[in-house]
Amino acid sequence: MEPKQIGGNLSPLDETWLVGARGVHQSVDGIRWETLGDYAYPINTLARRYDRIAAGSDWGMWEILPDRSKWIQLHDETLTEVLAVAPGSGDPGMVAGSAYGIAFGKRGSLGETRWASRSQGLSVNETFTNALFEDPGATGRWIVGTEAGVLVYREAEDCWERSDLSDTPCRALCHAGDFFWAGTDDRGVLRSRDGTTWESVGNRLADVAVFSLASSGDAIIAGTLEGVYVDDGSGEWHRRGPRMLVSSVAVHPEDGDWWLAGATPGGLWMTKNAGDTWFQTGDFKIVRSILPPGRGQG
Amino acid sequence: MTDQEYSEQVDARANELREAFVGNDRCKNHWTCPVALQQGGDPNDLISVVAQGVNEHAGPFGILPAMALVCGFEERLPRETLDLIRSVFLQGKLQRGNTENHWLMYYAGNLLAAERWAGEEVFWNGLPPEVMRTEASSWILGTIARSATIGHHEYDSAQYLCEHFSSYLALADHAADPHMRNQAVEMLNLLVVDMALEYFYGAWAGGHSREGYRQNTWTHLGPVQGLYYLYFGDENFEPERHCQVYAAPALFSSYRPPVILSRIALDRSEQHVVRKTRAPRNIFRHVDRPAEPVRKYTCLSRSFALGSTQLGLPGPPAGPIDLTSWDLTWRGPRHHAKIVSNHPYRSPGRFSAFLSDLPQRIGRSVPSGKPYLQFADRLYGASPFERMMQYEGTVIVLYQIPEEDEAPYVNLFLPGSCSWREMDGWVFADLGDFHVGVRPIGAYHWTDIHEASNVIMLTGPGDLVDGWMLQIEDLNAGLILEAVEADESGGYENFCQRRSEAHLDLTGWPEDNRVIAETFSGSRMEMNYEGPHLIDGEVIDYESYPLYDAPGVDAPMGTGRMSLRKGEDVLNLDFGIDPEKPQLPMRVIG
Repeated sequence: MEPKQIGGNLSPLDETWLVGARGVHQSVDGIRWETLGDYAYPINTLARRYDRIAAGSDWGMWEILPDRSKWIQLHDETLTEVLAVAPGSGDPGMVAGSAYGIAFGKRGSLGETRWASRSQGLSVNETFTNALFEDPGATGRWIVGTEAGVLVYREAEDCWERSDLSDTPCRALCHAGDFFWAGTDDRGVLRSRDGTTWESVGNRLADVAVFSLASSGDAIIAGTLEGVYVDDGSGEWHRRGPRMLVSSVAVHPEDGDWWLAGATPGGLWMTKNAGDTWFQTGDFKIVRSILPPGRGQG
Repeated sequence: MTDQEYSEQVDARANELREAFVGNDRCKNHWTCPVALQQGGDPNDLISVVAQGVNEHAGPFGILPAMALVCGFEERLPRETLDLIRSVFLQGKLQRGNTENHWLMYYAGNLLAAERWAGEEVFWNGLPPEVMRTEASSWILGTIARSATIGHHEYDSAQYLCEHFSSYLALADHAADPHMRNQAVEMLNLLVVDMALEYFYGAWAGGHSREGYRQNTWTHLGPVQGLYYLYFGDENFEPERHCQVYAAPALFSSYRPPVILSRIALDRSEQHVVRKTRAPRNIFRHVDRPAEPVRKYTCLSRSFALGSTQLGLPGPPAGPIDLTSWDLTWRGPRHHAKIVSNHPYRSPGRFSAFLSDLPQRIGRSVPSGKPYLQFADRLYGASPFERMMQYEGTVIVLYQIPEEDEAPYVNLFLPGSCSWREMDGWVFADLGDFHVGVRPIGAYHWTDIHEASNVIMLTGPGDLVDGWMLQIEDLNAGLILEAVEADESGGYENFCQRRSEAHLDLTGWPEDNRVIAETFSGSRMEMNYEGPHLIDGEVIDYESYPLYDAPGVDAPMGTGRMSLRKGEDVLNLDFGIDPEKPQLPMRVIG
């Protein structure tokens, strides 16, 4: 049986904004949204690898290909509650972070992906993974945000290293400039050159949980319990826009003033002037993940 | 009675249930419509019934019954219905859910579908059907192995046992793999063992992983009542209680339990104790250590049953939301034959400890759909501050509630129909066949509780909860409860007198975390809140609990082998466990 096409008028996945809500939705302009297939899974996280999308949900993980309406199952019976996905090496080329730790997948001969957990031996809170990405300067070195703070995993040696950010949940990570950035529940935003030694950035976010981080030029943008906050590089955080639990925030790669912010609940919001004015867009109630246009790494 | 005679009795009750289902229009549901077919109904009536319950976004509750219908009745299905179900499994966007019963129904249904449409190039999930067959087999067989070695995860749930049971029925009857069929039958036997060991006149005595919301003052609750009537059959037939949707698959299955399990369930000639070990609760964050195994202790007497649980929880905020840890039950109508207490712990962290939603949001999102989970009068749901010990018909339950907790009190439910007597701090009732005494620890206030479903205004008795409530307003609340058979008590007056005079030492509570109580029969119980529990000076070794322990039962942990003996009857279960094989990781709520 030949799967149906996604839809003749949809744009290539790498040219559009993607939003993970109930299902995955795409838009070129951030205003007109179309659904990728008719899937209603609650999507927690999205990642791109070349022109493929991985969508992590409460019930598993799915691969969305550019020319097919049918999503391909990426999970197995050991992978669920997927909260973080990041591009890695191999096939399917995605690393999964879930309530049960991080796992690496390997595609089998029938197209199935079998997952192996790498979180054995960690404590309960260290296992619960909220965010992860690969160190851009060291292949196979993973920065992992957990309920117990930030840990570093080295894939080749299969070993974990604890950072000094260990006394608060970390729900957001990004890399910008020469720094790793981490958003926490009660220590605000911290930065690190190596992922293991962290320093606070400013002090106004210390009592506001941070759920998402993005960068635009020198500015760091944080999605928090109280809305979007921006650090313009001086260490002072300024709120931009409505107060709500912003669980995801993203910046257009070619227009640093064009941001989308997803709220839980509160829907999807857009600004084209770096947060001076915002308007609600799309028909969403809960948005957990936003991917800006781009081809993604591989 | 032979197995053959027992099977004939079950057949007769199955027929009685089927007739009641059909006669009362209870078959207009995709779980129950096979009953109508079996009773000669018009297959065309299925078309709309199935279409209502099974669609391309089906979850576990649509997936399993759809395949049970196809596997059992394909030759009689209208083309339209078969095409619909086939399309769901080839084109759908199916949902796996997040509890153990969800995954079991999902994988059992998908396994049968992958076998039925094995020749298709692509299954609904974008992969060949063989991939789903392998994945489903791995999870189901792994889950069976876990249950047979470390205890059932979503254990002893009057509510959800039927979803487990129905999944294994479908696999036992229809799976192509003989090993899967064999393991499913063994698992069905094991679930009937679970039911039989704590069966008490149509009630499931003792602690439960999940017992429904606002129903744990009911004597009879949950779909398991349908299985009870079918397999144990010692109650008068009540169609409203016994015709249960999720038990209906047992009516069109060939599975029949061994007669010994019915004999175990129905033998109440001697007071006896049942001990069980169950798998640890799944707590995946906010705590420093994993949960430990659950240990249950249930005393089944002739006219009452008292059960309690060592929950093994790793501390706050872990507190499974529909768990019941202990109760006293006896024969009587709803609300009138239960005593139970609860600390209505309300931290939002108890939700996010086992659900992956954002902790900052979950305190609003979960109770929005289920507001009763945060009711101040709640009588169910685990509290991380509750501890207990039990010896035969006596239980001590203690709480150490932190000052900052939202609920600085404990709710103690007492039936409204008893004539209660207060004497020296004890509250007594004469229940006819037995007597009960309750000694609250801490100042309490006698009030009432009435809750009803779907009402704007409640002017009469509550259909959900109705009775007395003693609110013990003390951070260090507690209680001692003892039940004694009337013919062993020397009469009610004597019971009250001796029970109230028996040694009770509260001088170590709460400062030394210790309560000492003498039972009616003279045994000394010493309970240390976070420390050892002693009976007559001997420490209870909870870690030595086997998988099952009851008269005639030999079921060590970790072996997958167990033996049950009742008179001349013997049942041996052997799951063929390979001790070298790693255990399937638990990834679901239970």
